[in-house]
Amino acid sequence: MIAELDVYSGRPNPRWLLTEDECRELALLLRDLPPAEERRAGVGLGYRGIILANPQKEWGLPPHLRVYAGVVSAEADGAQFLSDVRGCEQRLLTMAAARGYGPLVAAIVQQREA
Amino acid sequence: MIVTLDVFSGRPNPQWRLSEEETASLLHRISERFIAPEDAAEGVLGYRGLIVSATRDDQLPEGTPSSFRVGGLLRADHRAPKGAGRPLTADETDDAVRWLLSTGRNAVDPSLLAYVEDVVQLRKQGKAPEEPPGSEEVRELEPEEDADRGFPLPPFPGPFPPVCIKINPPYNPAFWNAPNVRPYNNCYNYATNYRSDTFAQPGRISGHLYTAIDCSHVSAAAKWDGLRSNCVARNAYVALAIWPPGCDYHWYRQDASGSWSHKPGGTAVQNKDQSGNPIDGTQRTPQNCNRGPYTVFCGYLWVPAGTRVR
Repeated sequence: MIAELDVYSGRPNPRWLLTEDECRELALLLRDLPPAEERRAGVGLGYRGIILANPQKEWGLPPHLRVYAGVVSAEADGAQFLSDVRGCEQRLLTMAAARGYGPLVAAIVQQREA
Repeated sequence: MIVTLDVFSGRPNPQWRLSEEETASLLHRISERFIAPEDAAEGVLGYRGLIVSATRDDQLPEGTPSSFRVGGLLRADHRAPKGAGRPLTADETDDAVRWLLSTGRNAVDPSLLAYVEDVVQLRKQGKAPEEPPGSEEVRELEPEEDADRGFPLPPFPGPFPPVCIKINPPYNPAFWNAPNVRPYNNCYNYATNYRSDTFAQPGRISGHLYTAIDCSHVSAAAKWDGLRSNCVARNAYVALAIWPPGCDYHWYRQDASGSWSHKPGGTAVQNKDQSGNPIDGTQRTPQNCNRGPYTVFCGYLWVPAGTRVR
């Protein structure tokens, strides 16, 4: 599974391959989520969420997920919006920071708080 | 426009670019006629026709698919939609195919071209063609090889200074938001109105990729690609902004209406700012609109007609 920080406009977004342990952890965080109250998906300039590309549909997850502002959206089989009740987004941002994207994650957090 | 000779099964199909002059000639041939979309082909082995794909969003008349097919066998269940123009006749199609093949004579092996010519002739006579030649080397045109094939600018009359002609493209988001275009083209592709499918970077096509992300480095790299600070001859108008410190850059383009639009990364084209307000070019411009984290406004540049990016 590949995680992509959907944030840039000109440069290619940062992407990284998730380890098996990380995939397993995310699969647990994303299991049986309740429907979201709002249909939120990142658009425009700056941080638009984190995309999980899972073309082999491993770990019981759909092939394409976006996690943004507390909402998990699956875009493959019709739009489905679920509530990120277990903090998957925060966990993914922490993983991004650990991969060397700390300053960018700090800028994202600043942007979200603004 | 890019022409693909749809013929191989395993190897990549040969491709070549049409010059502006050749593009105009093709558009004249298909003007007000029904053209089959790319996916209308019968799945046969060997020659399946020529696929023509637009590289800019203002190249095709309204209603023409951004990728369409000339020649080859169409699926039996394929029907022209109601109200569509008259399709090309068999002779007109053969003529268009031969002409398109002639534009690719430098990119396609002669024996493959001869094979396609034979197939066209045999199908006309109702005979089944043989398999295509598979061992010949078929090469794509290198950018530098076809760089001089662009449409020459008209000569300037006598001693007068060159005139600035604004040729901003119309706002045409459908071209860029197609699933096979949107993720592979970014703000720089959109602003320069050139679909490269490479998430184009300033300076990459000219071998002078930016070495830092600030106004001076990114605009200098873009100038190596052909963008200019001044308007000479035919140009589109674009604007550059930076997300400091050195995070990213973002381009806007002015549309034919005078409004501005942009494409944030691999997402959809839009004509609104970060607050959801239209960038109308009067009250709101790239300079004073809400640009989110791209807080440093660098200024405006001109994109000469025919500029390519990669």
